[in-house]
Amino acid sequence: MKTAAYIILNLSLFSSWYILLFRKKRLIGFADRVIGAFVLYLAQIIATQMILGVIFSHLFAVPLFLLNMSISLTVLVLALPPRRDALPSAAGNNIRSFLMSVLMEIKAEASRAAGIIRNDRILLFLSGLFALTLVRIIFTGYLFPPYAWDALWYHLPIAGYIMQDGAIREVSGHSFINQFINIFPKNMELFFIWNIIFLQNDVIVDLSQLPFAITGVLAVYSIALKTGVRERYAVYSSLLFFFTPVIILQSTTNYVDVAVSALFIIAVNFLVDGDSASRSPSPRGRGPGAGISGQKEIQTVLAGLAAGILLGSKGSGPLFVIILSAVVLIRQVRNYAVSRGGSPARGRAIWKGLSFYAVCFLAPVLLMGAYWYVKNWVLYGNPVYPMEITVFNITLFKGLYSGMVESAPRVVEQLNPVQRPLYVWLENIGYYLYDSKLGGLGPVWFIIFLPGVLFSAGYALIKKRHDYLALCIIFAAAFLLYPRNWNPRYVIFITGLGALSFGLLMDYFHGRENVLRLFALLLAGYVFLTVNSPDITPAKVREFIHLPPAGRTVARQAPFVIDLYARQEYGYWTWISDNILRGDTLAYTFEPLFLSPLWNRAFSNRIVYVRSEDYDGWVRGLEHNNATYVLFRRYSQEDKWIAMERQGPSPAGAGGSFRVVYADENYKIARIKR
Amino acid sequence: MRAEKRKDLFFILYIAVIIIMAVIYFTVPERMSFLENQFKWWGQMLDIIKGGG
Repeated sequence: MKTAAYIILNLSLFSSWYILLFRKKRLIGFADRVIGAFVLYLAQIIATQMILGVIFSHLFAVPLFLLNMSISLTVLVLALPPRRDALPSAAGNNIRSFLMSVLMEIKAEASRAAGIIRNDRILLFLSGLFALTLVRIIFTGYLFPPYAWDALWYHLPIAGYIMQDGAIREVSGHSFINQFINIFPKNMELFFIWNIIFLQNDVIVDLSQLPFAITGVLAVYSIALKTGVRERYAVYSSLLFFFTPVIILQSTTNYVDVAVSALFIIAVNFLVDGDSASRSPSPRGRGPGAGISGQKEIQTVLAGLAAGILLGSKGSGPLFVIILSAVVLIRQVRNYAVSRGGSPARGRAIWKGLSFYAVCFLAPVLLMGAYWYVKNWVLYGNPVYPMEITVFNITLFKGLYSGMVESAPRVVEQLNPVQRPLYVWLENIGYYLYDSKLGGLGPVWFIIFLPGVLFSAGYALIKKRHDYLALCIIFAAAFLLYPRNWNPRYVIFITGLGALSFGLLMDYFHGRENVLRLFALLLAGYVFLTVNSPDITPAKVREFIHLPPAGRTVARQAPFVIDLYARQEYGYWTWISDNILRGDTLAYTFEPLFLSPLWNRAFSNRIVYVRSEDYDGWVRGLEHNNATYVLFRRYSQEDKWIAMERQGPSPAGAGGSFRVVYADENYKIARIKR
Repeated sequence: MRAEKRKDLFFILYIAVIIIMAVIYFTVPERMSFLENQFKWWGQMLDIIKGGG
């Protein structure tokens, strides 16, 4: 029932936005409508949770379900029936024939894509590998619990705190990680909540980034078409983009890097002028009249929404927004300035361009992503707290850190900024990891994409292909301005440029490209075979297949990346997962390695930090928070107090008594009896 | 005709660069241990699929 409700809700959200965009099919092509529907679906999920969590402090499953269903129904009503002028091919206002035309188009597009793939044996193999990789990602994500370091450290605790409070608000800042949780932009964590709150478990939450990876693939395809690449080569480009090891590995983790890069590519896609598509022999998915009034507005709003979601997903969001803003402004001002003569007219035109930017791009950006920065500014006096912002030795915003908090590997630190990414792209690593600093973009990037970028740039310069050159500048600016661009997971988007370049080259070498296709297939096959992380071993796969879903815990998985640090925590993690139920409040008395395992797999209990200098204060704190269990270190002050309390009645007289229900070499959990 | 010849040259150059990049990529010091790890992983997986494990 829960699963059915979750599926129905997601289908309703996506399909209502898709149908609304279908009414604009003359203005926006098929691929862009699918991508646009995904952006609007995400925007709705984030906006509704912000409304319920920030304004009403009532972010729970039932109101969230009802609010979203109401919005989707409203959107659907607005989309049906189609106006005659928008859709002359649909039979008047007949809803049934309109819906049939929606389905028929999807069917036609699917069979056309199948035709392209069927007619090219290498593309057929590549698509098969793509499908197999998707199946593998879904299987792995389903079988294993969220296990990645940052997921357990702060991404999922953010979701946990919001779900336990039913509100988006600051949490107690007693530790570094809680302070970080407070300042971190949380759009993606709201999407994680979406994938937990209805199902009441974390089984698929670690697949949250997969839709972004798939939409990123679609966005690469769409950009390639808009730059005039033949459709078959656009399909090659997009599928090869997916064979980036860090994309495949991160698609089963609650990180945000794939989402951030995919959103950037999606925003770029909507900002690419489709005019050059007319050069393509098959400008697919776009109806007659491309480039007519209204197209630019819709596409820019969708770009703004994608950029806004990106802005609210990671602290590096402002950098991407600045670059995308520059793209919109330059495009607008140039278009208006060129098309009109005389300085007063030019001034008016520039003003018009700025207004367009403010309304169609900046407003959606601020709507979807500004809240987190404004909140930080109000509460901490700095929108990007705790980072200090200094320009020309003038401190604009005070913070705790002026440089990078996390140090780079020594081998990288010894290199100059040009050598760093080149060293990392060579992948001197023993295996791939979802957060590897020394590899992850894979051989497709280094061997065929990287030279492809250089060759394509040369070709575009000679042939004056300004559309492709503009793309190069946008991606290169994002890459060069990113503070740690040698770290593969922060710059996944650069493989998008590589994929586009490869598509352009295949198009240029049309008739000779067989060897390139074969190379591409071999490298994709190599990635498919070697993208095995030591976190997911065959032995664990076999063990977990035979376990009931509740038994598939991170403690039992003992993932390679965290195992050395976390193995002494596994005992109490498992106990909490098995015994802490909905309505329970677990008090903890020290700063644990990870917060996430203090919640059960439904995130239905509460956690609270309770410490005090004296026993009475501590007991009052437990009582004040309605704690039902308390987690403490063996031999700690709390351990001594509980041992003392068990020998006699509570001096405070209010705390009831404690019963130790779990104990290992390092930790104990006591039930608080009232 | 000249344009086609130029395209041929450009193509050969691109293929040559790809081959050089492939040689550089697959001959870095860690590549052998990377491949050994992957062979080990797939060996274990095949054992499990065959029911040995």
